[in-house]
Amino acid sequence: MKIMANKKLIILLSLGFILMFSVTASAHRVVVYAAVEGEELIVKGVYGDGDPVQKAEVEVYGPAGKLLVSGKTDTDGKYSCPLPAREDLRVVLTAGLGHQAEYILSKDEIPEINNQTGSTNLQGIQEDELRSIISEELDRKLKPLQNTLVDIQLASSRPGMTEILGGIGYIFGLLALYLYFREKRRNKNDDR
Amino acid sequence: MKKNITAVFILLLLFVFSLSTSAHFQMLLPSDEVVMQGEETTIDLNLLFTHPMSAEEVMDMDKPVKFGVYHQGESKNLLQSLQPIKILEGDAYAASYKIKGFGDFIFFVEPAPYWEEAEDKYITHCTKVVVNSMGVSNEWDHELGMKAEIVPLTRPYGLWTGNVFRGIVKKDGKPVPYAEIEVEFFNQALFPAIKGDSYRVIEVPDDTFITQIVKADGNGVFAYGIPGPGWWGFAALLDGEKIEGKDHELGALIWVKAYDMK
Repeated sequence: MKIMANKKLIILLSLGFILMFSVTASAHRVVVYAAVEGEELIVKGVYGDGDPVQKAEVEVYGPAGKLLVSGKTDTDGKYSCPLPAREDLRVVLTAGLGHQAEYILSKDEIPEINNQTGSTNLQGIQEDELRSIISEELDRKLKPLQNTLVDIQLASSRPGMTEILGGIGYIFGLLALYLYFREKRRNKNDDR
Repeated sequence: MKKNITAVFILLLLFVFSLSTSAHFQMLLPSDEVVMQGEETTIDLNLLFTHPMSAEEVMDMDKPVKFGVYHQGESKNLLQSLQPIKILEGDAYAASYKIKGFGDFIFFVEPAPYWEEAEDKYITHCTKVVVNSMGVSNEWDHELGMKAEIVPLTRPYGLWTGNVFRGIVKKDGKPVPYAEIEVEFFNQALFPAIKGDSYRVIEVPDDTFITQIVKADGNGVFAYGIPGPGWWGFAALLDGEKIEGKDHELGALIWVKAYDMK
């Protein structure tokens, strides 16, 4: 009987512990962030210390408060889906015990063009700088090509050294052939 | 005539004295240090080399060797985004950065060595400041691995006036025992070119109040109780490698902002 009571106490205590643990975990502030990468909406939920909010419910609402899509975060606290609309979106994340966070993703935060790799590296660069960087890069990359083009143009306008040597070679070659056949014919005539 | 010369000498002495009492501080000042949802996510940063308390002058800065931001395990080079500006007639720099996502963003600068004629030495202050997004605090204590660095032991934002700020002074990744740390308040009202909060001009009873001095313990750990609202700079001054045979002051700096409880 005594052992039974101890067992009950242990179970009760451990239940208490589990409850306490879950309470402290959700007592953290919950934060949700959403961004668009390409054509995908990426939602991430974290606690105030950066730990992921796992298996939390995610709801995405459109401008008229219409529920567009919903799902659950994975073990990294992530949820992603195809971008439901190019509109102002309200992303609501609900973690256990009614802890809720929301993020307003405004229409102008949604990139127009699908260039995930480009956009991340270009933060903090002004458009003018970008323009000059691109033009410098292009100049650098195109230089060899330009040189080749110039070479080709020059080559087609006048004969180069190789052409001259080649021509002389042809002349000698043809001459040699002519002499060879002439000799052969002469030999034949001599045999007769 | 002789009197005149004496007067000039005294004035000169006073001038030299006034210069030596205020310390040099590299500043890296963001327009906001905690960006919550719905707030402006583009941060303007001012980079200037000055005496933040006495605001005597802004020294000319050359283009920094390194300037960037660390976030989520990655450092991003932002040297390209630096724009030269003038603050109190000195050459300084400004930059803008758009915060994306949540968490801590550690901005850092390693300026080009500054030649200080009056002290016959070069000065390089490796400086950082942490900007937080959406209240997720996960990387503020990350060590960037700068030549000289203060690694905070107190979260370096969301601070009340009176909080004790603690940090470890490190040089080449190792704690510096008994390092000396200079602490100065940014007397923002004396820098009209820098937009920001309006604080009253702080006046000091005497010159010893301009630069506060604390020393680290044997583990390189220091502490300082922040006495008032505004930006506070912590500068651990270490010996760097000589440049062209000249002494080189290597500084590890961090800037934090405190708020009054209302």
